[in-house]
Amino acid sequence: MSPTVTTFLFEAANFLVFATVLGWLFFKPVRQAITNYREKFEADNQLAAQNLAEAEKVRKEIDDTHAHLQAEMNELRASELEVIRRQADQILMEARAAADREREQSHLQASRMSDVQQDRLGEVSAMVTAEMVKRLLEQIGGPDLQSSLIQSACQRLASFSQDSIAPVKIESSLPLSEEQVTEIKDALGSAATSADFRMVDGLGVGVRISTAKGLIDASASGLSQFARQSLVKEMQRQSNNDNPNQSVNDV
Amino acid sequence: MNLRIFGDPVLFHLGPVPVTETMVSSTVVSLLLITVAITLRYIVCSHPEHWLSVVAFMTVESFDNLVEEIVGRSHTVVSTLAGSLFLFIAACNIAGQFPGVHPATGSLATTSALAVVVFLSVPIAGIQTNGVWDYLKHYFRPNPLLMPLHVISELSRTLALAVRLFGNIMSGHLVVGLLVALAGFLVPIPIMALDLLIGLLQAYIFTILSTVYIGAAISAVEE
Amino acid sequence: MDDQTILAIVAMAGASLTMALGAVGAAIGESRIGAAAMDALARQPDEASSITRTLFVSLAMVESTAIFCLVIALILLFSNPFIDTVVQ
Repeated sequence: MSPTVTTFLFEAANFLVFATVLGWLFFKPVRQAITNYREKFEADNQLAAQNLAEAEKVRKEIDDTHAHLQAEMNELRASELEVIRRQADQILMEARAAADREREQSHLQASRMSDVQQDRLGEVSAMVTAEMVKRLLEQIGGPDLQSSLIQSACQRLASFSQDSIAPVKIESSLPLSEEQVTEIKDALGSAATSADFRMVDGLGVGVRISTAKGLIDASASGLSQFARQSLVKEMQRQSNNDNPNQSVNDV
Repeated sequence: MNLRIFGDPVLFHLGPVPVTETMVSSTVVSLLLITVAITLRYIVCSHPEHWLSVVAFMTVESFDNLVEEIVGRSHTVVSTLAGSLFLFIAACNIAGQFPGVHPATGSLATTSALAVVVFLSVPIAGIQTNGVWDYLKHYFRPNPLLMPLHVISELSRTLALAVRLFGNIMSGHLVVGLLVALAGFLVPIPIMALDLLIGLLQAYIFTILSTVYIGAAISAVEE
Repeated sequence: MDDQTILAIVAMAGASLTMALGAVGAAIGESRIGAAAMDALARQPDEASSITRTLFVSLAMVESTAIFCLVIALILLFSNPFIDTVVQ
């Protein structure tokens, strides 16, 4: 065989064997590996897409929950706020009521205090008035006053019915003259027999005649007491007529 | 100076069969390539994330894509054939750059053997895809008178395929040898670089053209 | 001038002519391919990779005609099939 033909045949066979071996040992497994790789890649891709979708879902859920919670929280906050506002209102109202009460009480107290003061003032003024009347009477006192007082007492005695006035007690601080005694006795009439004349301290000028029908006080102390009593009565009447609220508001 | 253009020196005889230098170099190249391929396959199977397995992926993918682009559909056998052609021719061309190595593709016997393989695989692929009758009918289209032209074109393109590869590699080798003989050491380096480029380019062209021929046979009926 | 000399002269002349004409044809073709490729690159820079690939393939295919001529010339010069008849 010529070398050229041998070479030709050998090269053809060599190449065919080479291609077959390469195809079986290299191309086929590598192609298989590429397919596997692609499949794995595809599976990974799919898995990633699935995971992404799942994550998206979870995120949406979380978002929903978050929004829900937010709404709930807002609601809760609003209700809490409402409750707190109401409580605050209540507290405010209570405080206002308490303040009103306190104020009223203090007004009441103030009015009472003013009343008490008024009473005391009245009493003091009454006492002062009584004292002044007494002193005035003592200053202007004398036999004229004595006699005029006795005259007025006698006039009053005369208004009583003379039967039932016994026993009669006649008290005086100053000694009575004879004319005065007879004048009293005249006034007493039938009861003059049982009349009892006494000397008493503290009466000043004038006499005090106590009968079964009543007391006739025509002495300086009696006048002053009468003046005091009438003054107190007048003041009480005036304070009762006044409107307390108006007085409070004025304060 | 010993210019070897057409003849192969016979190294020894294996019985009655003469063993030429081309045979030895092509065998060595094939075995080397197969070793590398098996190593890559092992790496692909054991460590798919290794960069060498990525290289293997890219290699196979590029041939598959090439065939899909040219044929119009993915065809594993054709792409295996194309890949084997490219790898073998490119490896032979690169091996020719080593001193003292006679490139297997620089011999007309090798290139014509490759061209004949392509020539034979064209009708095989056509018949396998379209059936005998349909494939044979495409010789008589568009006109039965053109049948001789079809046949001549198939023969001539096979011849061109063989001679193109052989001429390129042999002439590059020859030019380098002449330059070494005339100018001396290191001068032919640019020419050798050009040879390297031309070798890869010719391997690519051989692969492309064979794929185009086979693809034309596969899709002959559809036209 | 014996037959061998005539054959040698004719073979050398034929080889030179083959190489010259083949180189001219290939050169013209390749120049046109290069110009067209540059035009295409200027028009569509995005398609640079595809254009470059097609350019190289086309160049190699056109170059192959020159290579054919080279092979013919080499056959004429170094392994002339008619040398045997002349030598006999």
